[in-house]
Amino acid sequence: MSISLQLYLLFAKISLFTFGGGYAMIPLFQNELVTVNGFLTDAEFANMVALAQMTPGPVGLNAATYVGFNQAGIIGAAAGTLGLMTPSFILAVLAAIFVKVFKDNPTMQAVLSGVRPAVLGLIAAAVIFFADTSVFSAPLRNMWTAGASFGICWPGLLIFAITIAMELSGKIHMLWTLLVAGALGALLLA
Amino acid sequence: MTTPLTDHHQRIWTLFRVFFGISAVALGGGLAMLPIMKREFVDKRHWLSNDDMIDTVAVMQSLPGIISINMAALIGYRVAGLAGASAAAIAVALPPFITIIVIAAAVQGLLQSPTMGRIFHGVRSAICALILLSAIKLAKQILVSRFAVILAVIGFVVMVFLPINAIWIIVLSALAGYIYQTISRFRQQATPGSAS
Repeated sequence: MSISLQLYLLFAKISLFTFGGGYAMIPLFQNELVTVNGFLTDAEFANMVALAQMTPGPVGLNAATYVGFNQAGIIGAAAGTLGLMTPSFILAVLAAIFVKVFKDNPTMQAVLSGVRPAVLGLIAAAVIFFADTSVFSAPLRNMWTAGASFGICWPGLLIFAITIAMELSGKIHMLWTLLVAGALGALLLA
Repeated sequence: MTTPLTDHHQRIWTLFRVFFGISAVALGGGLAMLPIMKREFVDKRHWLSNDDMIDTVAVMQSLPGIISINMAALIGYRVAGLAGASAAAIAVALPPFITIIVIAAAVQGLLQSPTMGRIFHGVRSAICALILLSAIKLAKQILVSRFAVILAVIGFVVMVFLPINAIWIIVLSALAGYIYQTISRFRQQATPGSAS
């Protein structure tokens, strides 16, 4: 199977199982791109999400373009993007045609009553994944692995705390917060 | 409606322009796009009613996939049929496609530099905080029952500790939600005296 077709099918699959958009996609992307296919390392994946967050457009589309481009150039980027778009597009057009079937459908609402909290759990897991490559100096799982050491990266933790303070102030655009975090990283991190 | 063909073309072109603009400017995408769409399609051009927008949001929240593509296809279809849906979806995808290719081509070399590595480490720390904040905000809306709390905890624990693909967590939680709601409905029917 050509790499472009593989990318198309991979992103179509991720798209089909993504509920909630944005951060909810991170665990699915990480599973498929890092763990299953080995397209990226953990650190590369985290950088890719960081990059996607700093540029305009939906995080998922940014990620598909980035990974597709890295794997197979512009054709790969197009394949990844189209793959991600296909299920969304088809289902949304069907929903627009059969609005009454989709709207307040009890089966769909029952299914979502289970999916929504599980996705929240996945987003919380994404916090740990990101902490592993930023706030912690070694992955959290080292805590229960015999002989492995775990530690805190103090400058990372400081940037984490400053970001929370900036966001809770509610007055600062997220792009500024990320720029400050990047600048602090360049100054404080070794 | 004197020249329907021109009107149709104009609608498609407007969809493309509006969605391209939103996608190129809005960071993060998703539901943040809604107010702009209401202004452009409901208030300014009257191509959609307020009820159309409410329907769209209701339907969108039960669809999987990229929220902004779902929204573009739903609204595009309402405004100008399949051509409108396609124009809107392509318009949403183009800005990130172009931006990321330009950046990816430039960044690959840059990321090797130690300074860039430190900058990205700082940004990763910030994103960790942003995801935590958004998880807390979501938790307030979602964790309204014991069932929801249990599923969220299971999702978290399984994802962090076990080598299980996230897709399985989604599939099994969907099944759990369906079974749980079916059982509660049966229970309500079995005890008509209880408040429904």
